[in-house]
Amino acid sequence: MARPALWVPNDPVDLVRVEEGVEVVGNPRFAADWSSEVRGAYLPALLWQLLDRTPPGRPVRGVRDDNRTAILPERRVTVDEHEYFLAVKGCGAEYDAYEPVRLDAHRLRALCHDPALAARLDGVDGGPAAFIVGERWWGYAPYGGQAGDSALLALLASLRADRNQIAGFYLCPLVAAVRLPDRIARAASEFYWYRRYDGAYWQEVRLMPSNVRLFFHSPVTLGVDSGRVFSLFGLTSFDACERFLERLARSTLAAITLYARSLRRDAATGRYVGLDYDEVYLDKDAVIAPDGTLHFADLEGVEEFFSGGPEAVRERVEMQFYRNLYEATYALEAMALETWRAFGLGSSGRDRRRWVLDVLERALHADPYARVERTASGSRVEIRPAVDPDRLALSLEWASEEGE
Amino acid sequence: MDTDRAFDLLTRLAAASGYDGTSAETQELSAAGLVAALDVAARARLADQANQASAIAARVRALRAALDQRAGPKPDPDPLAMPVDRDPVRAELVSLTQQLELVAGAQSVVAGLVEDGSGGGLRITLNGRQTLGELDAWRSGIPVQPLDTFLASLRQFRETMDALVVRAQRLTAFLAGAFQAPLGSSLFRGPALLLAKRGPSTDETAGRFEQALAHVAPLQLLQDDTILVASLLALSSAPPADVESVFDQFHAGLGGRFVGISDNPTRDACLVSATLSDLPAGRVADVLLRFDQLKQQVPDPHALPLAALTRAPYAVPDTVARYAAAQGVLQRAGYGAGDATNAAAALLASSMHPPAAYPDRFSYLDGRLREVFEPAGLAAALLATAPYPPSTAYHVYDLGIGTITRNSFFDVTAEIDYLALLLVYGMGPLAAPVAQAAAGFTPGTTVSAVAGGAAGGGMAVGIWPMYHRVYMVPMYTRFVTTHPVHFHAVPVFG
Repeated sequence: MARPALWVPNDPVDLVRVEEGVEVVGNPRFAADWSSEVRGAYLPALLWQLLDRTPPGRPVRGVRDDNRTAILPERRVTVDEHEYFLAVKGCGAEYDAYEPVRLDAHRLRALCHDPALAARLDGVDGGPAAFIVGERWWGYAPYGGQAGDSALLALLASLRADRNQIAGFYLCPLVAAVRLPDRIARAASEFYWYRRYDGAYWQEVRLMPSNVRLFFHSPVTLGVDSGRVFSLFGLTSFDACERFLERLARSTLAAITLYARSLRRDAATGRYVGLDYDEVYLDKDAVIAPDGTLHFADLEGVEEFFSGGPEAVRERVEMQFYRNLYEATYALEAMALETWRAFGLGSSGRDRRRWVLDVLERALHADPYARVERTASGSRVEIRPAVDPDRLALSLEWASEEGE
Repeated sequence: MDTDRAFDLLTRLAAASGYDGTSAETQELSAAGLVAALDVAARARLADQANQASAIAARVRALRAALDQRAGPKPDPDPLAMPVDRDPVRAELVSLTQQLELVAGAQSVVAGLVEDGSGGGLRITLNGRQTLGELDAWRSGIPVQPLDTFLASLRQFRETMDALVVRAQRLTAFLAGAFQAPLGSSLFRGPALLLAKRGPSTDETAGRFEQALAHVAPLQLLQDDTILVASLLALSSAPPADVESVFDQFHAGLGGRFVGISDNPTRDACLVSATLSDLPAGRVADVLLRFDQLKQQVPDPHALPLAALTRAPYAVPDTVARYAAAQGVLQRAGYGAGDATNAAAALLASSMHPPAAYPDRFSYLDGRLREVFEPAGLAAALLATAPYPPSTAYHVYDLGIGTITRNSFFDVTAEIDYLALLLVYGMGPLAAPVAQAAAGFTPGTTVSAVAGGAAGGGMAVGIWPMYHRVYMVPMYTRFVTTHPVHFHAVPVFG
């Protein structure tokens, strides 16, 4: 039976779902879920209102996730043992790009470069209002929206997956990438502070098992609010915590060995190709399912990288492992610390770390690509890539010793 | 079996090596639920089960790899052609994965077994691990005693803490109703915890609070001050009329005395009068006299620290000297002069510990509580007053955190530590069998001297909640969560 998706309550987001003029690039694995109640683009209510409420649309009440994402808790999809709710990335920024204050009609009027549009904001009330803004952000994306290449990269990663996972690496797959109608894009581009964005405006409609992240960008995170995460996920017994930790360990290790487990031999060039991260991180770009499985959410930064030969493959596997190992360890340690504390298991860090290692070892028992090796002085993770494992295998340090 | 021997045996079991318990000792540990014993047949069954793990895991790996190879880099031409539940590879994988979970459990049990000479095996239970942690925390501060006695004390201690939080949950609901506020409001959990310590009957406590509230309401304090003052009045077991009378006498007497030593004399006079309201009416004049003497002799006096010192169980000159020593400790720890530092010093000075013990006790706790509390020195000083070693005091605080989180008695995580401190302060007497045995500390005076001190002792810690009357900082938490200062965090969200 699927474990229900859970979300931490947060501020409501008023959206309008429109279908007319929207271009969709869908994920065929979720074609059945792109239903008449779901399909379309999700516009900030104020933007739609400014455009005379056209194209026709239906109001949708979402829940704020991070700055430019809203979750739709009523829309659910089940994949194997996980349930997900839909979320829309690029449906409007909650905060001003340059000040830590919420956007509202008054602020939007001040940065609108079209006098006719600006005039329409005069009669709007002064409450907070998320908005897709035409400020070029990070050089290529509209602030509060999403750029086409980012949305399509995320879709490519989703297409690479076996629905919700790539060889044990769990992700929040895109159901579809959606391009907003040009008329809406032109209007959004009239709102900017310094640099105008004139490209296409896209959104990602994706699946998420929860809105609990590891450390940043959620109303509740495992690293900061571990006690509250325990309450939310119903972790009331030691056994439940151990099962949660096992799934967290398995999925987190999969995330930091993604290149090895997604590795392929590219027949055309003779090179190796696998997935790696580009400017995305476990602590802010991944969410944790109620059963403990870490799901990578921001797929725009999960891309294919080529390696010329075995040495280059090993180098990339090692770099990916160590670059993300601290955040992976932080997740396991936060979970273990809270378990130790909640069940009064003493203050010995050594005991706790030994428990984490035991659980990690068990978690990787049936993993085709990674397993724990104990050594005289500590422990290592042996990684066997999906292709040419005998040539490409390598062993990387997990812990130097079980010190106090 | 005594506590030292139990600690030794449980340590060996936890490390899965060197266990040398006799049959009788093993039985005693087993009867207490601290170890689980397996007979020969049960061990053999588990071992058989565990032996299947490698084969199942190998098959799971092969299936998993085969499935993974099917996916990408291009999507399947017709991915919906084979319904997932009819795919034989997936079906086998699901079945084997479930089997593997069971087998891995058996394997883990077998790997952790310790030989006991019977051919079967022993393993430490979760309860045993908890007890080992408790023994580790407490045994340096208590005399060796029968394990049974120790376990009974611990059980009582834990049950007491859980019961307090359950009562506090009821009282939170009562307070929210009384002030017509949402149940989740953070304003009430701290006062509810204070009130929960009054006694087992929440109805009676609620009645006392209502009565106290009616008495305090005309003072027109801010709402959180009103709640705190009414809570402190309601805590007393003396007849309400007596408590209110003592409160009024102190309120009348202290108001003028606080001018010049408080930023808000009206409010502070109410708060301090409430902390003194449990004293007999006949002591009011003495206490005010002592307050005046301390005010004259303490350099740079402040209202709240003076109130704490007034209750210290030492003669005025001794109290002043102890206060100066405590201030020195805080200043050397890096705390600048100020009201909170003075309040922390007053707590240390009022404690049963001699000035020579202040540095070690305070620094142990301060090092652990910095970055947790603001101001941290006050919380460290509060725990340092406990009648057991600082490591044990910290352990008790840690248990308090576990109790708060286990019972979900919080809204945002930032308030957990504050609520835990409120929960455990004064928990020594509640953990009487353990705390009374805490003979390892070096008291500056005896417990009875504290109880019979100049102004009654005990309630000096009442000033702590005044510094933390806003027990949680939801806006701060939200800010930290959503505005990270991190080396790779994007300027505004991702």
